Amino acid sequence: MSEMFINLAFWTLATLVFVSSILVVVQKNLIHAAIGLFVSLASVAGLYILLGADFVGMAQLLVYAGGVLVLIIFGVFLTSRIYQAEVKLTGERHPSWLGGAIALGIFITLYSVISKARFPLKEEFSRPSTTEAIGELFLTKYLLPFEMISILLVFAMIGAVILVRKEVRGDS
Amino acid sequence: MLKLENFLLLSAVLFSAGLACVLIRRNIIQMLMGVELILNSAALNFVAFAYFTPEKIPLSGHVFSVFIIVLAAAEAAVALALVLAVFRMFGTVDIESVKDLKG
Repeated sequence: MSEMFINLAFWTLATLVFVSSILVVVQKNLIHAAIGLFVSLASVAGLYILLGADFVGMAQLLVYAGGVLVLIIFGVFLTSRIYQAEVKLTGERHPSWLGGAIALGIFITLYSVISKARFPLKEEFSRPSTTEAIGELFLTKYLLPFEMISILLVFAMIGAVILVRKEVRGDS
Repeated sequence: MLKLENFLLLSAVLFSAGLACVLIRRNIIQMLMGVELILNSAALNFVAFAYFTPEKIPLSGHVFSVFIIVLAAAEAAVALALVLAVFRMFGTVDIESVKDLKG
């Protein structure tokens, strides 16, 4: 890929991520915020692919854009229809600019650290397919976390089902 | 040419936006979206460092990103189940009105 194309792709995706993540914060309509989240996640998936992480990018698209977003939109539909008119967007005890100021301060701190830090970087880049090597890592070096996370997924699934089920008769 | 600093700054933007979302918004679902943004910024950092690291086969970062994605999916499922339970109990998803431990 040519240098110009990579630069163009990066700045386009970066702008998309920036605008849509701000949209998630400021948007009052939950569905619009969810759409902003979708654009943000899909752009991050594009950045992954730009970084040579094709497997992670595809996983991001499948799991986030395909799964989590649908869950969130279901959540919005299931919970926001009744009291739509009286949603309060910000709290009373803390003014909303305080949270924004804290987040902005942390961003400025991160910015100053990142712009000062120096990392030992490699000079040239190659981009082979990563899926095979990642699969091998999953089953060798990271076997224990891999199995743990499958157990965690089972527990999360069972927990979610138990949390949302209707009360069974005879249940305390 | 891609630069590590740009990716880290973008990830910092994502993190700050997510943090602002969690701190400012009072709707549980929108706070959850902020948490997703924060998790995404961490995964983006992992992949960016994996790309720019001098290591020969720099895939540990990718593996951790996949773990983060799976964890985020599990977290979203459980959190939305909790949101539904809260909505059933209190009739609202406004975080300010959820005050009782035992309804």
